[in-house]
Parts: sequence; C-alpha cells; structure tokens
Amino acid sequence: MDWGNVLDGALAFFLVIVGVGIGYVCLRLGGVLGRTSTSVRELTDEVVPILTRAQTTVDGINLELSRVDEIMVSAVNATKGAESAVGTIQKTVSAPARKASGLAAALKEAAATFRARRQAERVEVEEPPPMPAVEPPTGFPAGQAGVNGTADAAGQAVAPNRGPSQSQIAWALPKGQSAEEE
Amino acid sequence: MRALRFLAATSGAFVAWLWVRGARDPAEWPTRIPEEIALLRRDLLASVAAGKRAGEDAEEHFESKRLAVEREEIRRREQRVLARAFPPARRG
Repeated sequence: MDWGNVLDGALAFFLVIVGVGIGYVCLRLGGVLGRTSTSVRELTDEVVPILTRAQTTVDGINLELSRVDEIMVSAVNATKGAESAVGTIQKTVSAPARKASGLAAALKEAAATFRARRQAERVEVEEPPPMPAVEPPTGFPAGQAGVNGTADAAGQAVAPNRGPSQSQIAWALPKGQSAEEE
Repeated sequence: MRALRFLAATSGAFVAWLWVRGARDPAEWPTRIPEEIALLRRDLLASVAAGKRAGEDAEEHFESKRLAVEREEIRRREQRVLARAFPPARRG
C-alpha cells in the first residue's frame, strides 16, 4: 500500500461526497422548482379572471370617456353658440345705442350752434347807441391837464374808439333789451 | 276750412318771425325775406355740419368705450380661467 493508493482512496471519497452534495442540491432545487411551478399555475389561474374583469372595466371606462367626450364637445359647441349669440345681441343692442348717442350729441351741438349763431347775428345787427359828444370845458382845452385831470378825462371821452365795445353793451343790458331801445 | 286755417296760421307765424327779426315795415319785406331766408339757411347748414361732426365724435367715443369694456371683460375672463386651471399653492 503506497501513497498513490491512499490518494486514490481520498479522491474517491471526495468525489462521493461531492456527488452526494450535488444530489442533495438537485433534490432541493427540484422541490423549489415544483413549488414555483405550482405557484405560477395558481397565479395564472387567479390573474386571468382578474385581467378579464379589468378588461371589462377598462372597456366600460372607455365607453364612459367617449360619452364624456361627446358631452364636452356638446358643451363647447353650446358655449360657442351662446358666445356668438351674446356677441350678436351685443352688436344688435350697441349699434342703436351708438347711433342714439351720436344723434343726441348731434342734435345738442346743432341746437347750440344755431342758437349761438343767431345770438351773434342779433348782437351784430343791434348797433350801439352813438356816444354823446362831450364838449370839453371851456377853461380846459382838450388834451390839456386841468387841476385834477378833468380835461384829460373829457378828452378821453371825446376821443374816438374809446367807448364800450359792442359785447360790453350787450352784456350790460338786461336780457331782451337792445341798445337801440336804450 | 282746415286748409284755410293752416294757411292763416302759417302766414301768421311767418309774419311773426319777420317781426321778431326786426322787419316790421311791410315795405322792406321783399328785400328782407330773401336775406332772412339766406341767413336762416346758412345757419341751418352750419348747425347741421357741426351736429354731424359732434355726432361722429360721439359715435367714435362710444365705440372706443365699448371696445375698452370688451377688452377688460376678456382680460377678466382669461384671468378667471387661468386661476381655475392653476390654483394658487396653499400654504401650511
């Protein structure tokens, strides 16, 4: 019995141990695989009906969504119709209102213009009364200053274009009374 | 009879108008009547022109005001829609 035989025996023992281990592992693996297969089968049996029901639910949801879409389209169309109707009504109402506003302003302005022109014509027609010729005092010739300036004042009164203007006369007279009547 | 009354009333009003305008002597009516009518026509034409201008200005003013109100309404509606779509973040 030499060392070679000892090594052969050890190797055989080692191989036997390895084979037993591998067999054990394969046995456990077979059990695991069997349980996995069972689980998958059960899962498939349970999931398929759920998926079928989910498919039915999704179909129903899609149907409802299509209805909601139709409703939304109808609502949008109704809103557009209402908006266009409101716009039409607004235009229909605002156009006469604009015309009425313009007509009122035109009538007011025309009446005011007519009245102002007539008033101006009346003022032009009514001639101012001729200014009375004031003779300067004998002692003070016109343009020469007297004791207290009376001659100068008289000269100013005689001087042409120094009287009150036409508008001043018209303003000073009471309403309805002309300068001629004065 | 009614026509005669209308004619008399019109003539009376015309004479009264001439009287108010200062043409009180019938002898000067042939010259005053055309003058008064020309003056009246001129005043009426000027008043109509001024009224037209004022009316156009008023219509433009009305239109611009309406457009401003419409723009403001559109802006307010846009802000309402934006506020509903993007509500402000709540604190706390």
